[in-house]
Amino acid sequence: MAVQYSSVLWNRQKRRYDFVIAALIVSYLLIFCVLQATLFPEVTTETILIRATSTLAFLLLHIVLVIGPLCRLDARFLPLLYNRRHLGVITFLVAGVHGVFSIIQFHSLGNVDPLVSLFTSEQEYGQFSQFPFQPLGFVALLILFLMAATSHDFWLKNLSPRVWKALHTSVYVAYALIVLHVALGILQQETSPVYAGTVGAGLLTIVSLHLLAAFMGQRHELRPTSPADDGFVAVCYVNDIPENRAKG
Amino acid sequence: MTPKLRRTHRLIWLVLAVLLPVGLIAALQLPRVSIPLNKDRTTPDVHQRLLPTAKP
Repeated sequence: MAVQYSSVLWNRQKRRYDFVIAALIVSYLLIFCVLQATLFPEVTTETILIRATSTLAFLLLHIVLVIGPLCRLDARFLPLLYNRRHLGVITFLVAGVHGVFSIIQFHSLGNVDPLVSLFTSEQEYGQFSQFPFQPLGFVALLILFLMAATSHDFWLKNLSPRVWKALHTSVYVAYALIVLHVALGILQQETSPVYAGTVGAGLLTIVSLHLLAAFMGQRHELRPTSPADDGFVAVCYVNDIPENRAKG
Repeated sequence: MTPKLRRTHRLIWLVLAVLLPVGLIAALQLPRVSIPLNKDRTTPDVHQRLLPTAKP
């Protein structure tokens, strides 16, 4: 018997989820672009798009990363987890637009390949103060691509849950690379504390939520809830049950 | 999520909780505005330190 996969198993919840995401993204892009064009009328369209997609992708990545700990802390956030894969894929697409526009704008029409230029236009890889910020973003984009490309049950099944989860845990590496991409890139130019403060606040939020969720989870494991509280007795993890056992 | 992966997950965030703020603060301590401001702001200023290899 063959196993059949479809690209997306659409249902009402997924449609609503994606519709809300799309509406928020379009609203953000419109507001950002109008504000940029108004405040900086000399800025080119490409530059506005680069700025809009960079900030949006960074924001979306923050949302993707806080959904996990929020759900562990409070079950009311679980609807956000339901279709997080789509949010992750959209994050990659937005980041991809930023990456492609940046490479075209800053590395095309030269006498070297744009990707070669990306890695060689700044070569102070040994100095933190002059460390090239663009390759950091490129590597992060590659990680997001791998995650987006494997965000499907087909890959979950064929890579095995262990490998798939390990691959998708690399989003933390991508986040670290993007923070450095921002810190060594735009924050070196924009000296207003607003920009650094915003990045710092995002970082603090994500790290705090993950640490808090880890702390609460650890505490729950050490002192599990008594049967009187929820009516269940923890006997083992689901993964500890052999195949074709524990069936009703 | 297996117990081992859960522990790895927590360890990663513990490490990131230390390294990321340190990295961000270290980057903010660097001598900034080494790049002249692009007054007309037609291009992202931060890329001015890039010297595009123009065709001869």
